Amino acid sequence: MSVSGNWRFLADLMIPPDPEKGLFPGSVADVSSVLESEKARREFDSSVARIAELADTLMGTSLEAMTDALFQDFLSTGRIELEPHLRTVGTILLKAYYTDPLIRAALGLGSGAPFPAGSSVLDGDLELLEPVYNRGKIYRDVGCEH
Amino acid sequence: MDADVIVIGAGAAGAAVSWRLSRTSLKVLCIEQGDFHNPLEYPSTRSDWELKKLSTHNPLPNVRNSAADYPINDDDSPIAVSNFNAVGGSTVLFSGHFPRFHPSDFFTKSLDGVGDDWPITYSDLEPYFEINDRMMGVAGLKGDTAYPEIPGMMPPVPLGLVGERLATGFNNLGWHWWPSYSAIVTKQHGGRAACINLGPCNTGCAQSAKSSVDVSYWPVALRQGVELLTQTRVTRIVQNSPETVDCVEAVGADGELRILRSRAVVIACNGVGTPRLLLHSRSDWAPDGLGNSSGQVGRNLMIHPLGYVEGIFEDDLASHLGPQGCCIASHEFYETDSGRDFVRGYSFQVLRGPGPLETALSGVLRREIPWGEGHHEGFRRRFGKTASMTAILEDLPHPDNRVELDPVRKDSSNIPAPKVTYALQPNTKRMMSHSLNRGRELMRAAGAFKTYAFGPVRETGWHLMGTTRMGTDERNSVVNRYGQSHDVRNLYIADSSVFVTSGAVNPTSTLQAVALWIADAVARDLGVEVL
Repeated sequence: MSVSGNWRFLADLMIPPDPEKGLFPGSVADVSSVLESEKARREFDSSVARIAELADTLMGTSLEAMTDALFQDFLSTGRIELEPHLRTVGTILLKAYYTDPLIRAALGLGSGAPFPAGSSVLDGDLELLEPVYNRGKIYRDVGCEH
Repeated sequence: MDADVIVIGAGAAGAAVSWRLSRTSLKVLCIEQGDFHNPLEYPSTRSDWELKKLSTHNPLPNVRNSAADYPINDDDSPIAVSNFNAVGGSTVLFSGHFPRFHPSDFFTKSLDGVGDDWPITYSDLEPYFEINDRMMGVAGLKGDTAYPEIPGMMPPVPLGLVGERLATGFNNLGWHWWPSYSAIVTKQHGGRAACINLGPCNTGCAQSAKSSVDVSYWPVALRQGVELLTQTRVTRIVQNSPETVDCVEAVGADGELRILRSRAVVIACNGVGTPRLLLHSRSDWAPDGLGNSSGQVGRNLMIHPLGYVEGIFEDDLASHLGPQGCCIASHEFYETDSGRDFVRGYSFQVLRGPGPLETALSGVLRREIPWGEGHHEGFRRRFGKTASMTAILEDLPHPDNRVELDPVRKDSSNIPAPKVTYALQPNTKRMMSHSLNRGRELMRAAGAFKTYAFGPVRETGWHLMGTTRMGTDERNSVVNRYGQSHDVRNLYIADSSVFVTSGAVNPTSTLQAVALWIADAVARDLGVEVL
């Protein structure tokens, strides 16, 4: 299977959809938008290919055929060998997933940029300062601060 | 003459000096290697702002590697140097947390037998703090028990649910806390609109509510006649006579070398850039570097090691909302306490929680947000429920912590890169341990079910101090109490390089007050009045 084919299945195993809550699977995220160099692309492709190989070697199955339960076994069984490759593809996936406007909207994070909308934040209760006031001055006198 | 005064660097200190001198009859020329940035192009105008924070607006110049940046060899330091090279300097990316040094910070030798006393005091700087607060635009609350009275601030930034929750934790422990002093305008100020809680202040403020000096000092300084030469890098300050400098050599974006002459030169390139320029400006009169007859240029680097503490809460605190670095702060452990195993102290600065991407990245790294079917639930259990806090540790001066010229690495103008050698001293290590333990205690007292703490945090070397310190003894200091070189009478240094000690708070407010104090001395020495 091609790298892109394997990636689609791997991304959906790493971040599965949640239809009830309307949450998208990992494969919806456009990883090409965060692969900033040819070197990064090559490393990403190489890690996807290696993870697919390990699935076959360690679990005797393809990423396409893996269930979540099997994927969890795979993560556990291949922990040491998978680690560097999962770190490579995982970082790229998270960067693409959590900055995608559609996905962010589905997660309830707002789809757009912080500016110009801004956000509403609770002013807070300054009466909470009462015990701090009551305790009095805590800085050290040096004799010439005034 | 191209100007009466040449100011090198258009960041926090250079802007303050340039503005102050624009209120005199002096002709002022400021030279800056970076350029203006358009706030409407900052990351917070984009949905992928968290990605930009990792690349174009990364605090590390070695990662950004933009045309304005110079490489920094910090391989021999557990803390990487952060900065931003532009009109506005590092204030473009700073969080705007704006506390002042304490009065005791100027007397560490007399009070605690460590560091050295400054040749100036808090009360010397007090009028300059007030001018600076007015020019910058500062929010906060009067009556703080950790300071002499601080007047004239705008209403504080909102505490948010997370600020309230941690305030309750501080109260439960009987510890000091206070709403943050914030270089953020919470009301319209100087033509700038009020803060609307965009969040990522540390990638530049698209609203221009954060008081970076490109939107606070510079518009006024330029209106008042300061000439600002951007994209121009000063490569050397030239000394052809025993007691004065004659000119500066600079290279523009076109690669042309320019010779610029003035009656006085003020350096404001930060605690790494300033010693680098001095060490590179060798001459027959100064074979070890300009102004370096004491051998102190580059020594006594203080960076403020930061401890990081995080608490995870069950309920949604909307912790990701609000000005990223400004919420509340605590000075409970600021002053020396003989019952502790270290002298001097630290402050806590409560931050807003991480954004979605940072939450996911750290959660996966710590194996708390799993891959697979538990991923969404794992994210939901952390996002908006994470409270973060840094401990800013007072860093004592040590001569072996220093900036030198790198023998190999050079910038695009062929100037040697600075090489930073830095190690935490035993007192600081004990303080770090104390701060991390107290930080976790605070998080638990506020109701966190899980806590993390570690330090020093590597990518936090913003606070660069001490490398050309002021003093009365010419043998162990570089400048006098007015920032004037002991060796060269028309050379001044006006940034945090001149700090004698580091305090335990973000230094920008204090360094700008010092810069204004030095600007007045420059004016006096050149025989003019400040209006």
